[in-house]
Amino acid sequence: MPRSMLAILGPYPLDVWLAWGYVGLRIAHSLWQATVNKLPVRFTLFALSTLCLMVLAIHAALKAMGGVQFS
Amino acid sequence: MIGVGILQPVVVLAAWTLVMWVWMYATRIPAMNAAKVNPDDLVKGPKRSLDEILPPQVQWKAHNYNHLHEAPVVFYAIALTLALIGQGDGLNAVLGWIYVGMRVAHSLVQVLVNRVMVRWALFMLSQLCVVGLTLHAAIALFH
Repeated sequence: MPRSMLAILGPYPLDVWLAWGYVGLRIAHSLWQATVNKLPVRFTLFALSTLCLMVLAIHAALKAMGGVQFS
Repeated sequence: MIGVGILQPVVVLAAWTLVMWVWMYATRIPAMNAAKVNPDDLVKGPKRSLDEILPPQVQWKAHNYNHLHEAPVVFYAIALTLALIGQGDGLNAVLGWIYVGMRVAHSLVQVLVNRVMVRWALFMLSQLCVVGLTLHAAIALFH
């Protein structure tokens, strides 16, 4: 949802890279879980992907509250 | 508005999900009362499940309600993507309507008779629609 909101509201320059990072980490997470499935690596991949999502969500929130001035 | 025809099946599937939500409660709450289930007991162990307490026909509604939040997530994402880039009309809208038709049929089969092979066939057909929509979105965005 943050991603589709950012597509509508106009992303920050970093956001497209964060979205690609998210997808790359999720694919790595799938491959790891479906093959080796050692937990610390899976946890790390998941945590990194969620970090991407958190930044995107914060950016979307800032864009959505575009009228609010942080001076 | 041009290119957003696929938003109609999106809205219909969301509405159908809410119908299943009501149907689930309409069958499950009376069944829980009849079985004298204390809801707070269910959370006292990870293995405790209404699947072991309530009749299967009652739980089928709940299972389908859960399923409507699994595979359709991809449909919603790709349908909104197509609408956003003006590609949600024509064949893509038709695929969206077929998808929703298959998912409604899938729900009805699961909660009424639950014949697994029929369910599986309907699910496969619905997934084929998502394959087509995803390919169309990929072509439009990457070509």
